[in-house]
Amino acid sequence: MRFAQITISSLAILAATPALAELLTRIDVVVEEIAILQIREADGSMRIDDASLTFMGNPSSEGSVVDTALGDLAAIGLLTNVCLDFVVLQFPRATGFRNAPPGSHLGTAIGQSTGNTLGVWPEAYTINTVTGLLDGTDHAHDGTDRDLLVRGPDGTEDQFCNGTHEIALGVRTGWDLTLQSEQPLAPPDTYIIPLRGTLVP
Amino acid sequence: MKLKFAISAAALAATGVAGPALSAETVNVNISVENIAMLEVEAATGSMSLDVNSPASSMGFSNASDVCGASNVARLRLNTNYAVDHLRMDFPRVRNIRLDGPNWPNETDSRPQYEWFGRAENSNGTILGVYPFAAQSDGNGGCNVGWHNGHGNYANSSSTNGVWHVTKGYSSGSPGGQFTNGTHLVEFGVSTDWDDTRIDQDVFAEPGLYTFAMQATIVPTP
Repeated sequence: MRFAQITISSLAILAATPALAELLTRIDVVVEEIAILQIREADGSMRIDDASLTFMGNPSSEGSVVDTALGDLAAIGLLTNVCLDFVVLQFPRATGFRNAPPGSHLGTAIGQSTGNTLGVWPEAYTINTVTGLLDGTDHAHDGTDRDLLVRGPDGTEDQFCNGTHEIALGVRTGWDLTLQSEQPLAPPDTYIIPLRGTLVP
Repeated sequence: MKLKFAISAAALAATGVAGPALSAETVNVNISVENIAMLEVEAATGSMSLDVNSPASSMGFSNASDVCGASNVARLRLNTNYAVDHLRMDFPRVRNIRLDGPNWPNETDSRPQYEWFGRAENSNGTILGVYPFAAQSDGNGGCNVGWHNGHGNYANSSSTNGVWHVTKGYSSGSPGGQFTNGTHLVEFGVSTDWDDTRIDQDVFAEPGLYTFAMQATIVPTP
């Protein structure tokens, strides 16, 4: 509020003594470090209709698509005026899945009708904002009990700098990534997993 | 001027934190898993040999418990995430096969359960009647074996195509049930004899290789 007080004083002087017009006024505008996330595509969707491991994004049956009308990746936008190292992608996860490395933590997509759990490997791609296509680096979760850190297009840090960036979000999964305590093959259903992106200063 | 100050003040209030503003958003990924059932051929071919010591044979098995997991049976694997009613087996069939009896070799068997045989054939067109069987482990060390009964409920007397419904756990003493979520192995073989020949052909099957083919189709629960 310091600069606001100065400005008010200056106006008062101008009104009283117009001859002293050389008195300086100053307005200080402080732009702080700002980085925000915005939702571009709120829902991604995929279809499992065979026994293969199915990928969203690239490669997939739909190709490098970010358009829920075409049934593929979800997306978030990142607007920033500073350089950020990464976006943290948080998701629910568990262990004990069939057909996954022992001890690995997979994301848990929950069947909306059956309540069964489908294991998924979350993945993210940066999007080339000029071409609209996915950059080549697939930021896939490594199966540890840690959140997925989405770094820049080259997979290195400090690449989300001044400007607008877009990140596509999806998963890879198959019908046999099921919990040992549940049925061997995922029953027909719609399974949903939330992916939460967070910027951490 | 007051308006300009007001705008500046609002902008500062919105961004007035020491570091980058904390921001988070959540998206959902929706995965639609559809009805999936698929057959895989684990062993495409079964084999047996009829010789002087065993002119009649059920693939060399003397006990049902020996069939499951044997090396000479054909084997299919069914993977399904929904209830499958049965596997429909289609195969070529034949009748007028000689009957073992007092009028042999000039009598055929017209009893419903023995009238129709599976049709194995060699490259010369010589026909050998066979009875196909299916075997499934019961999961407890036992083996359920069921034969196609030659006529049964699924016969179509006007057709040369045999149809056989193989259910989960089907055996000659049980109709079986549904194939439920998971993986199921079903093994196939035949029983036959060197004199299971057509009455209009030679009495004994000539030496050679006879082939019998079956096709399996997944039939969902209605």
